[in-house]
Parts: sequence; structure tokens; C-alpha cells
Amino acid sequence: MDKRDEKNEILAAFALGSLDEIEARKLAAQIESDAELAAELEKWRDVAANLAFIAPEAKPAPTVRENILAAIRKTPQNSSSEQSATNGATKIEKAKIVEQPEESLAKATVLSFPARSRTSFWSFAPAFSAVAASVIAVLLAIALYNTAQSNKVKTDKISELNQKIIEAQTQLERERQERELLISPATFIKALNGTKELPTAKARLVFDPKTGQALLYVEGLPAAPQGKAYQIWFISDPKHPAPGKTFGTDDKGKGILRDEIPVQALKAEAFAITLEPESGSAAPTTLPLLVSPVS
Amino acid sequence: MHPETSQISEQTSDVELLAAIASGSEQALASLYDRYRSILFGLMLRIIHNRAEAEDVLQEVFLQVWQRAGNFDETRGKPFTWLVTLTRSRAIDRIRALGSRERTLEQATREIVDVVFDAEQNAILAQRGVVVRSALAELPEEQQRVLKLAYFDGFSQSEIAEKLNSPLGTVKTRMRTGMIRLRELLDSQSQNLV
Repeated sequence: MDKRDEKNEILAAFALGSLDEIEARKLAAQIESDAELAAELEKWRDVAANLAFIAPEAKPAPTVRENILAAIRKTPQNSSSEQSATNGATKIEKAKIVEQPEESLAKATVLSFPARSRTSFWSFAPAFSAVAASVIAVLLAIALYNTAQSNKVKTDKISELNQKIIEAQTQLERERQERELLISPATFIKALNGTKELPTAKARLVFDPKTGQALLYVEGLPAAPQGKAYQIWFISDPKHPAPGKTFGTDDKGKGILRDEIPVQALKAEAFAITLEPESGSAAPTTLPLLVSPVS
Repeated sequence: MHPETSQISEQTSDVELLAAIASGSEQALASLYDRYRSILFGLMLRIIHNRAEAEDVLQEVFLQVWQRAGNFDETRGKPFTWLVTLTRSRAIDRIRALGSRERTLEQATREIVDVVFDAEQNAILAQRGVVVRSALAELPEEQQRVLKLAYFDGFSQSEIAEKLNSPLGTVKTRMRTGMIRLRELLDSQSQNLV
């Protein structure tokens, strides 16, 4: 790994808030005095910040907005600079970095406590205390280790379960939207039949012409060749079909596509599916495999 | 012109909004909140898994934006990055304070994640979301997992290595490779954004 890779590795991890403590401390110190490094870090922070888009969006309660506006009316703005060279984020990292010394200090205090049990009445007390303190310290360390191990296993399990819950909730929400689309009186259903290229293929397109929300169910479409995918087209002007998303099928030839009909194609009366490059095409490049009859 | 009376619209840039906030414009803060609430709250819920706590932290974040908008320097970074970094840091701080990386399953189960298709959301942001999700989908699963564990769960590289039972070097490589690839994909695809 060359120096550039090494720098990227450290900056990227720092931007993700994942750098181990010693490295983070070292880098934070460098950033304070190196504007170029700080600027490079900011680019990595831009990349990391984009990960926020992966989280399913959610709406806070309306009271949150009200509370914020009420709170700022009582809160003076801070004109003094609390920020470092990277718009405050480094300060946050630094706060994280200084946690450990404080914890270490606390542990040191706890471990020194048994030594205070000496008295003048017991001639053997100093030796006894020292042994007792050592035994207690060892027992404490073992207990802490066991607790930490136990907590870690639980944490990992809970973290995995949480992830599954989020995924399940997202899936449920998706299914709720699909169900709403399916039962909405505004929904239209169009059948697509296989052309002579693929006569056994068939599909149903369920869509709401007002919102453009659309669901496509296909059957009898073999898996697309490597580098290719199926693509749906919304046709209101036969000379200029509007492109939809690409999709694939499973080993049984079945597939589902959730899409949104482009605004310009909301009045589409016909639909077609072609085989296209995996990234999709702006205009069909092959003959349709499935088409809907024009109503 | 006083920022409170200036015309703030969807076209007002984030930098302009922050400048107006720094001048004391409540309307600008409200606009910034409306623009990013769904993304930031979604991020917050993804990290904290508790709606009440997430709402509380979201308030703290915007209070901090109000207090510190005057210190924001656009030459050193983007407002969106600043907001997201602030939000994530606050959320991670909160779960650490709550010890809630050990949060109970019951708590997480009770939480109703109100996933929304926010019709009011800025179209450019929606488009950007599609770009990011498709870029991430191009990364190998193991790289995605490492990035998510770091970003959403606040795990250090060493913790991730332990969790995945992988050598630390492997985790570092996956993280670096994933981030570099993500950066390349976002750079190339951002040209298609409005």
C-alpha cells in the first residue's frame, strides 16, 4: 500500500467516525495544523455524509418543529468560535478522543481505593491490605472481563436483530404501499403479452395515472444475459417511448419492479418490455419482448 | 434587507439559509429544517432506534445549528455535510450515553419507524438519494457491511474486526476500498444530477 492509499485509508475511516482512538488522536492533531489535510478530510466527509441517504426517511412529529422554533426564541446565538478548521466536526471527534483518558483516570481511582484500608491497630494490616487489594483487583478484572464479553455478545445479537427489524419494517412499508396501490380505485391494470420473440412471457402492470406509482409483475422471462437487464417503456408517443427502470428475474422467470411513471408519460396507453444494457437505455435498442395492447 | 423579510424559497441555497440563520432568521431555520428533516430524522432513527430519543436529539441538532450557524465557513465544507456530521455525531453520542448499543430488543420492537415518501421533499435531494443508493448497491456486500457498521452503529475498525471475526487489516482494506469506490461512483454520477 503506497502513502496515498494509507492517507486515504486513515481519512476515510476518520470521516466514518471509525478510526481507532490512537490513530484518531494523531490525525486530529495533524489536521489542526495542516489545512490541505483538513480539506482532503472534508471531501471524505462529503462521501460519508451521503450514507445518510441509505437510512429510510422518516418524518418527526410536527411538535418537534414547534419545539425547535420555541427554543431558539429563548436561545442567544453564539458568535464566538467553538469550531476548528473543519466546521465543528473535528471538535466532535476530539470530544470522542478525550473520553478514554477520563475513563482511564476513573479506573485508576477505583483501583487505588483498597490501599486506604490501613489502620495503626493492625500490625499486619499493610501486608494484608496489599494482598487483599490484589485479590480484589484480580477478581474485579475477571468479573469485568466476563461482563464485557457477555455484553458484547448481547450487543452484537441485538444489533443484528435491530438491523433485521429495520429491514422488516422497510419491507412492510413497501408492501403497504403496494397494497394501497392495488386496492386504490384510481389504479389501472394493464396486461402485457409476450411477442413472437417470447410468446410464453406475460406481465401485469398496476399503476396509478395520477401519482405515477407503478408495479410490474412478470412471468416467463428467462434470466437476462450477463451485462443485460429488462427495461420497461411507457408509450404515449410511439416515436418516443419514455424509459422506465431496469429489472431482472429469478430462476423461475418471475420478477417484480416498483417504478414511477415519468410525468411526461402519465397518459401512456401502451407499455413494452425490451432487453437492454444493464444500466438501461434512453431509447429501446431491441425489439419488444412483451407489449400491452393499445386500448 | 433583513433576513426575516427576505424571500426564502425552495431555491434558496443552504449556504444562504445558514447565513440568514446566523443573522437571526427563524424563517431560515424553519426552511432548513423542512428541507432536511426527513433525511436527518431517518438517519437519527437508523442509529438510535427510538423515536422519542431521536426527536429529542433532532431538536438539539437544530438548536446547535441556530447557535453555531455564524461559525459555519462555506469555504471549508458543505452545509449538508456539516448537518449530517452533526446529526450523526449527536446520535452516536446519545446511544453511547444511553448505553443503547445494548438497547433492548423490546425497545426497538416498540419503535414504529414511520418510513415516508415525503412528497414535500426537494426533488434534487430525492434524486441524490437514488444516486447514492444505486452507487452503494454497486459495492460488494462485505464492503457495504463494513461501511454501515461504522457509520450507523458507531463501531471502530477494531470493533468491526471483532464483530465480523475478520483480521483488522481486512476490515481496513474493505473500508478504504469501499469508500474510494463510493467516492468515484458519486463523483461520476453527480454529473447527472441537476
